[in-house]
Amino acid sequence: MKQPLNAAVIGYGLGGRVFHAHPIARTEGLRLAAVVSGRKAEIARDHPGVAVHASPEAVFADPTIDLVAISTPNTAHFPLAARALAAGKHVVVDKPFTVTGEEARELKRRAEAAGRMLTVFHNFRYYADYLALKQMIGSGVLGEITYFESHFDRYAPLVPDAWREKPGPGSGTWWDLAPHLIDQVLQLFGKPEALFADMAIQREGGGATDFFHVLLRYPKLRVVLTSCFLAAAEELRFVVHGSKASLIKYGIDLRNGVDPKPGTLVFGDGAEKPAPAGRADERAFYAAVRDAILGEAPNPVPVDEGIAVMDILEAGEKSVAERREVAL
Amino acid sequence: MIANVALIGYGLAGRVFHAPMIAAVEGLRLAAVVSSRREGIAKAWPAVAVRTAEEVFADPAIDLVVVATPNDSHFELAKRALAAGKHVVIDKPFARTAAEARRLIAASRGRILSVFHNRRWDGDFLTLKRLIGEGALGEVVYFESHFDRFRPRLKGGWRERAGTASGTWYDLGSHLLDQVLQLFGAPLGIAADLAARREGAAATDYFRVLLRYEKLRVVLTGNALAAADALRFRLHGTRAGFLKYGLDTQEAFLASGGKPQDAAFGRDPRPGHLVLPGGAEKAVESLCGDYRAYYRGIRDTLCGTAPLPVSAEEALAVMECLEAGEESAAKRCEISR
Repeated sequence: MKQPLNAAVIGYGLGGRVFHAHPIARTEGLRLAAVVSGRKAEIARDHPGVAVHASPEAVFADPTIDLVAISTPNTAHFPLAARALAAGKHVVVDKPFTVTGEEARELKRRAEAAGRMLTVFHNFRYYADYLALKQMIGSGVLGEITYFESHFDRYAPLVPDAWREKPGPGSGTWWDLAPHLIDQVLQLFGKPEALFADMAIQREGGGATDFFHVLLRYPKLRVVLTSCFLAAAEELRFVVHGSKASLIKYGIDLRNGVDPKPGTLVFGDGAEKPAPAGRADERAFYAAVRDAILGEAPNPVPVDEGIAVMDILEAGEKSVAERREVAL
Repeated sequence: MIANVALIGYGLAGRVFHAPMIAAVEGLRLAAVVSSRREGIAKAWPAVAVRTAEEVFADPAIDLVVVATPNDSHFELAKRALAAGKHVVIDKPFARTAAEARRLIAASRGRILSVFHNRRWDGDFLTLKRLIGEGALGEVVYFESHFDRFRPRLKGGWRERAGTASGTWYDLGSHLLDQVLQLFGAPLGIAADLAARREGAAATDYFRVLLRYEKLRVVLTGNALAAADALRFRLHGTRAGFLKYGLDTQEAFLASGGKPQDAAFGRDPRPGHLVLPGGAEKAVESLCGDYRAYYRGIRDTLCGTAPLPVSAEEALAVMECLEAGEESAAKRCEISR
């Protein structure tokens, strides 16, 4: 049997713990070898025997480490990814890829020069709701899609003391949550002609965007990406109107197992029927990363697709600043 | 005192809304209808005279003229009615442009001029207004108001023709705008996406319009290609959310032959849903809607006992927002005040 690839996770906040260390440790052919974080006790409890380093330098200097996953505050993505590539590591960067499109393009150049795999953690491509949606769109049950609305709503009126909630590059929900929604839409429908974005800080004491409503314009299709953190009625996920039927889907964040809340198909005559339920495997992204490193499959999220998401994020900021539509 | 009313136009608006509402309000008498649809009028209103606009304007016995014609003739007819000394009610939208609306206001000296924004008396809207007023929802930070339908094929008619003030933004958007202005006042900015998306469509059949306030955001949407077309309101407040499915029932009730006097008139079988943080839901029965309230208000204004149910200035504000929406869609930018 082949030796597993050794992976190190930098950062052990929610992302590092739940979305990187956990699935890496469960994916065949990968070994969680090290975590870079100050949270020693927590890591020792979750992953006994895994090395814990206070500084990422220890990981970069370790020749046995094949893969580095970066799950730190967004502004650190670029410098850490650049150093990891320079140290000859393959790199997974959590979303958002970086905090500017220029940084993302620079990382692409460096990965090509280093001959290493670089990818962005757009794991929502492997979620149950999205997989079911993709299957329904492909099967033609909805007909031609003329309207698509994707939500990330929550009721979280209290603003936590976190970097995400403070002003600065790459902070707020537009950079934190929208990358998921944008990446899915680009996968489904490709690049829009233009975008109009509205953002706001709605919570008392908020320091960064906690509301966005972004309209992506295609020739006929319209896509709305939206997030509100004061949404007591928070469960809506997708609204899709097609020429044959609509899909209404409630329930968010299902990354493993069979979706307990499949959507409802509503036909033009008013008839309704349950939509097929998707099935997710939280290891799918890292299994694909493994295969890509081994040369057995393409990069699951090619760098150019990560850059395309960055371009939309930046266009959104520009649209808000100028209060006008931005052509893409 | 009985006020004599002449109705100009007997299409959907005249037949379903104005004639039955006027007839149902004590103190108003439907005295004449101006329309080529003689047979339909004789059948539904055997005692009502069918006349020309000129006859109506020249008749000193007519107190109030109701203009319920295609949008592009509202201005001319209302102008002539005012010049003849009549009080005037115009079906929404007020006119083709805000400039026309202002000219009518200037010409209305001493006469009543009002616009039929009947959806202020939708049961679900009355309910929403009450919930907001009571504070049950907390501070409203997001409000979405829908007029969606599944009508993939054009059905013909003036509403679908190209031209100023045609299409669903003027036809249906005017209702949604008036309600929002009543609830939240004038927005700081309007960003509109309008499109004609159906096969062969010449007029707007899709709108999504974002009204920006300080913290609050309001989205108005009309979509003729929505198979799941039932959502009416979605609201997020700091204390609770509110969801309402299904359109007010009065139009369908009247169009299918129901009378405003019937017990079921204005009743909505689909309650709204108050959603508390954590997801607990509470059904909220809708208040009874009643479009007669508009004409009762007109009667009371004629009697001098109440202010107008919809002032011309309020209707002008709707026109200004409709135009801002057109301008925003054409320039692809937000129009700020």
